[in-house]
Amino acid sequence: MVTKKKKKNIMLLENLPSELLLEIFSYLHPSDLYTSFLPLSNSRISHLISDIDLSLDLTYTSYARFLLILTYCSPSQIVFLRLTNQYSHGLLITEFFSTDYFRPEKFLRLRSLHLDDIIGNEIDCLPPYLEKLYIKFHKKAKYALKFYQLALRSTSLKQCYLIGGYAFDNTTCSHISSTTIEQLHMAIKSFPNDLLVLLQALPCLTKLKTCVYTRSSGIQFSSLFTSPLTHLNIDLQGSGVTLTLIDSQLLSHLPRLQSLIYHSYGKSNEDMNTFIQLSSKLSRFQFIRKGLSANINITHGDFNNDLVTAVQEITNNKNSRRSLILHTTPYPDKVLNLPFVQWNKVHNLSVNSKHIPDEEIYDRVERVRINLSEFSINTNIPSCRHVKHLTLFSNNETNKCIISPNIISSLVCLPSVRHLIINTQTSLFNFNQLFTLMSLHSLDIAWSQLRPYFLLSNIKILSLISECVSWKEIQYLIIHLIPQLEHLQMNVTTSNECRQILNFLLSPKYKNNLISIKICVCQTLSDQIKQDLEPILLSSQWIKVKWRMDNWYLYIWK
Amino acid sequence: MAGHKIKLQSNDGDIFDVEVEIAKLSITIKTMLEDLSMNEEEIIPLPNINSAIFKKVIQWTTHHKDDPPLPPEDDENREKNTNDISSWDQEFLKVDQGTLFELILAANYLDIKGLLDVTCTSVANMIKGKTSEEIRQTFNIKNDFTPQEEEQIKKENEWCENK
Repeated sequence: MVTKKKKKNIMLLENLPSELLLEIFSYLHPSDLYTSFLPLSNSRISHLISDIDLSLDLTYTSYARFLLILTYCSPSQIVFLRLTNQYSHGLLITEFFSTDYFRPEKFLRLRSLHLDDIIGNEIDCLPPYLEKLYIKFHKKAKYALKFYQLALRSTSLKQCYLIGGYAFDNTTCSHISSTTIEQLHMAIKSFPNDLLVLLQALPCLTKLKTCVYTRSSGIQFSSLFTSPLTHLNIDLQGSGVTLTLIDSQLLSHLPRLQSLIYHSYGKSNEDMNTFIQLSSKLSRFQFIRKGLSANINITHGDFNNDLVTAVQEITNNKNSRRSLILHTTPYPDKVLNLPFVQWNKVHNLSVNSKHIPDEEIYDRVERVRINLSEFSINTNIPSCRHVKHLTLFSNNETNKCIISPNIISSLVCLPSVRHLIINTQTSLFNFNQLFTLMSLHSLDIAWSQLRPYFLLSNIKILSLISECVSWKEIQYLIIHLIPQLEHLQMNVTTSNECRQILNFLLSPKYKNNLISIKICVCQTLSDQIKQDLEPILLSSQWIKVKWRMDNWYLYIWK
Repeated sequence: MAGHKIKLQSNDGDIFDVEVEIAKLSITIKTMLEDLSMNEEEIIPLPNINSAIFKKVIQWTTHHKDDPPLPPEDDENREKNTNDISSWDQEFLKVDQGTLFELILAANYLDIKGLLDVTCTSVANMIKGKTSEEIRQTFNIKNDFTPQEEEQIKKENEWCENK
C-alpha cells in the first residue's frame, strides 16, 4: 500500500501544465517534436504540437530534416522563420516556397521573416501580418527590386532590413508608401533626392541606416517638410557629399534627430570640425573616418559637454592602416575592436545625462576583434560577458604575438564565444589554451594552424581559410579531430582530389554528421571538375544529395 | 543589505530563513516584498512548494546569486541553446524525474528564469536523440488514441506523403 501511495505522488511529464510543456518544447527543434512525440499517439501532446507557435530556424538543417518540416509543419503555426541559402546555394529557399501549401499568404501568424542569401524569385507577396523583414541578397540575386517594392509598400512591416542587391532609386522603385515602417536599413542611390523621397514616403520612420552612392539635384522639397527620424546612420561611400551638404540639405528636415553616425572618406579635417559643431545639437553621435591621423588634436572642450566622448584608434589587419573613431557613450556598440590606442572619456554628470555603468555598456558587445600583435591593449576595461564572435588577427608584417590567451580571457568571457576566426599565421600563440575555455560552434582557421591535440570535438562548422587539403587530411579531421562536424568549407586544386574527398565524405561506408560541404574549386578548374563529377553526383554511387555548382564553388547539401 | 534575512514557509509548514538578496532572485518573492511592503518578521507563505523542493531551490539560488544578468531574450526566435549547462548545474540536476518536474513547477511559480531555463534544458536534453518508443518509456507517456483515431490520423497525414 505504501509503495502504491508513493507511486501516485511521483510527478510525470504529462502532469505538467500545458504552459510548461510548451516551454520545454521550445527548447527542441520542431523536427524533433515531430519525430519524438507525434508517434506516441497521445491526444494532449499531439494537440499541443499541432497548435504550438513555432520558431523555425532552418539555418543548419540537413535535407532529411528539411523534408520532415515540409511534411508536418503547418504554415499557420510559424511565428518566426529563418531560411538561409548559405549552405545550399539557393536550394533551400526555393524548395521551401515551391509548394502551394507554403504560399506566403498562408503564414497567418508569421511576425518575423529572415531570408539569407536569397538568389531567386521565390515569393510574390509578403505574409499578411509580418512586422519584421530581414533579407540579405546573394550577390547574384536578380529580383531584389521586387522585394524592395514589396517591403516599401507594406501595410504591416515595422522593421525592415534589405541588405545588398539594389540601392533605392525613386525612378525604378516608384509608388512606395508605408505608414508602418519605423526602422529601415537599406542602401539609397543618391543624396538628397532619393533620400528625401524615401523620407516622405515613410512618415513614421524613426531609424534609418543607409549608404549613399551618388549626389543628385533637381527635385525641390518644401522647406516645411519634416521627418520624425531620430536616428540616422549614414555612410557616404565615395559620393562626394560632405557633412556641410548634409547639414544644409537634410538636417533642417530632421528636427527630432538625436543620434547621427557618420562615415566619412574625405581627406581634410574640415568634416570633423563641422561634425564637432553639430554634436552640440545631438544627444549621441559617432564619427567614423578611415585613415585619419591618430595625432590629430581633439580637445575635450570642442565637444558638447553633456556627452561622454571616447576616442578609439583601430588598425586594419591587411595593411595596418589606422582609423580613428570618435564615439559618445553608450559605447561600445555590438562590435568592439581591440586594442584601444587611445581611450579618453569626458563627461559632465551635472546635467541631466544618465551615466550608464561600464559593465552594462560592455554587455552589449557581441563581436570582438583583437589584434594579437598590438602592445597597447587596455586591460582595464570590463570583461565583455556576452560576446558570440571573436576574431584574432595579427599585422601581416610581423610574427610577433604580444597578447596572450590570459589577456584575452580577461577582456572577453570566453565560455560565451561560439564563433572564432583565426586570421594569423603566428605560431607563438597558444590557441589550445583558448579552446579549453570555449564551447565553440564554428571555427575559421588555416589547416597549417590546426594541431592534433586541439580540443575541437564540439565544433559544427569549419572553414579552412585559403589552404588546400588532401582527402587524407579531411579523413583525419572528420574521424579524429572534429567528429561532430556538420558544415565544411575548403579548397581543392585538382578534379581528382575533389573526387577523392567527396568519395570519402559522401560514401555510405563512412559515417559522419555532415550536412553541407562547400568546396572552392576556382574558376579555372570548375569546368573540369563539373565534367568529371556531374555524372557521379547524378548517379547513385554516393548517397542522395542536393548539389549545385557555379564558377567558383561546388555546394553539396546532404 | 547583505546578510539581512526573511522567513519563507513551504506548504508543509517548514520555515526557512533566507537572505533577502538570494530570495529576490525570485521575481515572485521580490514583488511580494516590494509591493506588499512586508516587514522582516512576517512569514511569507509559499503554498505551491514543499520543503524538499524549496531546499533545492535555495541551494540553486545561493550558488547562482552572483551570476551576471541573463542576456536579453531574443523574443522572436524562441528556439534555445541546449548545450550550456554548467558542470555544477549538471550535478545539481542529477535527481529523479519527479523532482526535476517539481523544480520546473517551482521555478515557474517563483519566477526564477535561470532555474526554469536550466531545468527545461535538462528535460529537452533527455528527449533529444531518443526514439519515440524510448521517450514513451522514459516519461511513461500513454497512447490514449482509439484504433479508429489512429486510423483517422494516418488518413489525415496521407496527403503529406505526396508533398
